[in-house]
Amino acid sequence: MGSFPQFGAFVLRAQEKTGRTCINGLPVASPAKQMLGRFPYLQSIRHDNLAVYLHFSETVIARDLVIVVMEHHSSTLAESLKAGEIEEDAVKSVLYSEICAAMEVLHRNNVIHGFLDIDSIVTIRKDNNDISTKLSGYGLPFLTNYGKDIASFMKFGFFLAPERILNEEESLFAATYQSDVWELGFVLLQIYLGIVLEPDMSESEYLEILNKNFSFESDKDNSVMEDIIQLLTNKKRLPYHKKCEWLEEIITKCLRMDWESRPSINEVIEKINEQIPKLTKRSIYDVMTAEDMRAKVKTEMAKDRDGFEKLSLENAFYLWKTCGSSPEIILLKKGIIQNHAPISSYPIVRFDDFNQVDQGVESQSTFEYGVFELPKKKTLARIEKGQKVSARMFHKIGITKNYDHLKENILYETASNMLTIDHLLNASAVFGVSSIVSRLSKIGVISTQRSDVWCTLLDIDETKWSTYLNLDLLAPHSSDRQLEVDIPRCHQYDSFMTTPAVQESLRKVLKGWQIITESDNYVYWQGCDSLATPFLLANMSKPYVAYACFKEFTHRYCYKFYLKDNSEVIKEYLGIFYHLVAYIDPVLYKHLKNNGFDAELFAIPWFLTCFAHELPLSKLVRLWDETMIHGNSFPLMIALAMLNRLRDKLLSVNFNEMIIIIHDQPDLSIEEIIKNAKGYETIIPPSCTFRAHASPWKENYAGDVHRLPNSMNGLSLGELSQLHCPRLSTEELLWRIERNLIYLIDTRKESEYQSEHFSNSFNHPSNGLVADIDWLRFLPGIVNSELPKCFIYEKNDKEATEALAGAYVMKGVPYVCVLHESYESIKDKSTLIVKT
Amino acid sequence: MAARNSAGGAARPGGPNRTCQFKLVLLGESAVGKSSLVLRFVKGQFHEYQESTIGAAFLTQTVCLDDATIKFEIWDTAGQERYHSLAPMYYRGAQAAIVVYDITNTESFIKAKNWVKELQRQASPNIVMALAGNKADVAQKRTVEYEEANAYAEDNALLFMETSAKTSMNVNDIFMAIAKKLPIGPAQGEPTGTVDMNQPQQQQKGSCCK
Repeated sequence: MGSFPQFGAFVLRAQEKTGRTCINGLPVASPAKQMLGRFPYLQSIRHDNLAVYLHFSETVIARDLVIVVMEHHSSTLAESLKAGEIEEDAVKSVLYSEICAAMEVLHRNNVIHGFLDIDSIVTIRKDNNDISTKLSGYGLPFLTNYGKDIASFMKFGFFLAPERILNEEESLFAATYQSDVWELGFVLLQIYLGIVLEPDMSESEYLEILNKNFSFESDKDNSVMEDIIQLLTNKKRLPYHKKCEWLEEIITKCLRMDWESRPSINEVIEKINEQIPKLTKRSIYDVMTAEDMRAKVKTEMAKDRDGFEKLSLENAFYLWKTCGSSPEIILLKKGIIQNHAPISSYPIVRFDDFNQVDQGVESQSTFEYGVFELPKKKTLARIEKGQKVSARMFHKIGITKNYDHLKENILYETASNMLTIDHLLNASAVFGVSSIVSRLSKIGVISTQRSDVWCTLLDIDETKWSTYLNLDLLAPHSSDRQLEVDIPRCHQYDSFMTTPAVQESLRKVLKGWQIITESDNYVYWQGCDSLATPFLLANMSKPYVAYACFKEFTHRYCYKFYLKDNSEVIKEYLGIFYHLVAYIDPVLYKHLKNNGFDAELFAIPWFLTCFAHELPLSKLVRLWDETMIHGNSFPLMIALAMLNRLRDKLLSVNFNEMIIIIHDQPDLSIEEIIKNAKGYETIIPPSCTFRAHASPWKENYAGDVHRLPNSMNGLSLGELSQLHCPRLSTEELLWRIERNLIYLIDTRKESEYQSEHFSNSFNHPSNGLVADIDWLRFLPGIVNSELPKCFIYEKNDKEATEALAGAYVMKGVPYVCVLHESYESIKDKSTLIVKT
Repeated sequence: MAARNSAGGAARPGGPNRTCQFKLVLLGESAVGKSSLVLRFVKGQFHEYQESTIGAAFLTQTVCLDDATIKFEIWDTAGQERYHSLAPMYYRGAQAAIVVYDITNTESFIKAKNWVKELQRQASPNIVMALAGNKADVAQKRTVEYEEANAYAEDNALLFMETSAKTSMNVNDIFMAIAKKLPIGPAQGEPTGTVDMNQPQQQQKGSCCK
């Protein structure tokens, strides 16, 4: 059968409320949306004995139905009890500990279970035949806002706490921490007795017992435990069980009529821990000798697993979807959700004006209550006998054996990528980020792992968010109004972004970031909201991580952009951008310049939001996956690629059409953009992207040439706009001369050139420094070369040489740059000068 | 809704028409509905959650008057105060401006007045200015009275209308009103369109028909 996990889906009908508006005039988010926003929190609560929530979606076919998917196991505690699997004390002890521990985790995270009974606890047989449990279907009170957000009826087990039964009319979701404890009491009792109470004790008998014990004057410690035992004894249904005083005491306390007198989950677990020695799990690292290790490996090998068990549940669910499954379609096909023709909601007979007979179905769609096991036939069909999934990094066993064949199999391909990325992320902790970058870029990032990958690439750990956690995010702030109007319209095509919970998190992220960076003179600029969004969506239950990522990312790629006065920073950035356009595509550059088409008109939102305002999130995250493994100039390369894509269109029109074309970028292939951006990065000499305001952060995984020192200084904005090509640093010039990776064009007088010059340099004809294409074209190999053509000059000819370089650009010569300082200042730094 | 090129009446092919281009800029506090007004006017669309504008957006739309066809080159600017320093780049050389406020937000009306002052001081002297009180569909939440805004507009010789990009009330009308006030003289000069980045204020042309 393999180790591929099972998933279970259930359906809820969301309340439909329309027409209400918020204080800002926008429609109130629908209850389905509100639930969607709460879901990530529920998803984030993890414990060995909690089944994992995996997926929440609104259905397309019936807009009021929502589907929840969670980890699923086919047998429940009720079934195991009936089958008599839970009889030994040791087994029982494990269950007490596990269930109480899981409940403690829920309560600690402020989540009420609300559904605890022996049917909502699943049992799992482990390899060694031990039984383990997981709580399932928990947290619905939180998810549904105590039932206010759903319209569907919920079926509960009948051992509900008395106060919940009394509140029946209100909502069955009147669950509290204390009612959880009551229901826990019933679970513990049934395990203790080793039976299922339900058929032996009917609902009316249960209510009778409650009635008997219910009185206003009664003892606060009044418990129903004894009456239940008595009832079973009378019916001769009380099984033999080894008396356990301390446990009976706990159960008695849990089953007190007065909710205030019941113990808290902490008290319960304390008692249990006192009595049941903590389970000593043997860690896999807990190996004593080499012999031990060998034995362990042997037993592992003997298990002959297929490798899928190594995947996280999120990854497994992602794979399940990759194999062509969607919960909604499956539930429809299996008839769990039934869609009715609109006419079926009409009554069959209507008489007089308003009286009708046979209402018909109430809603356009109906559904079956309960957890439905999602089939995995399609997934299993792709699993091939004898093949294993394994990571492709440190060892080459397993999948590599028959690799080419399996490469065709998307299941194995994706699964092994997932495992490889897990490996890489682990390796980065030891070997550093630089060791994994090149492999990471080859594999690509899968959405389930994006948060981890980004945190690794951005070097995020708890030190990066500790300050954030101590902030007062409720105190009024000057930006409150702006955030209030911007956030509700930020990336609204993404369903999570429309939910109140996620919008509130985004507000916190941005506000926290502002408070922290205020001392650096940073402020909120419209667009920061777009930029912070992808980080939040990757870390929905952890806004502090989103904050840390946002801060680090902007520090690297949007350095100083959010200064109160950023004009100098932005203008320098745009100036350098246009120099690079001139370098790569002089023909386009000339056209842009001639039409007065300045970068200010279109590129500000590109750079200010690192394309977050321009691209839909699905494309943006791919672009950022790539950005984060490149240096701080990579956004410039992306912009070049974006411009290049429209090149032919732009060249054929004038200003008005140009501006319209560039603001509207449909059908953009992000893979194409990434490919071209990487291409530009290899062609453009790194020092040509020098900016005085560049981020001090430098990647340490690019090649040598990216790590050269740089003695350049920034230019004034006037100087920047005078220049029509980028500047090259002396350090890079010398590095390139040494490797023969440059065309050097020396504009000094012929006599001076003759007396000394760099090897491999060409002396420009001294024609008053006029661009001479015919001369240039005959330099050996230059026409097809992508190497930089760097102009060097004597001090007095600086302006003339820069103008000359500009003239060549305007004549359409690509890869032109000038040295940032004169020949005089560098000649002593080099041994590469030929003297005659 | 108004389809492209049909706002303000059907084009009359072959009529005694001249095409004139005018540059129009929208200014105002953020989230008052500048982009929504333009989108309604140009594409006949309305998005409840219109995303914020960064820098500026550019769109064109043509309207037909009795004796001329007018092509608006519309610069829709970012509303946040921080982007203020970019604004002169867009309003310099503009022949028309719509200053927008939100009738449910008094602050935005104050901000609108500041924009009017700035335009009076810095923009072309002949600029045709209109004041638009947007979000008229939620008049029950109004905090800026019609009379107050109207009086202010009269004092400053502004065109004034309350508009709703959501219901499209007065949207085409305000653009038409501007079009009618624009100087449609004999052909002279080049259409502008381009934005003046650094140069001092341009000489205002009498008209820009060709």
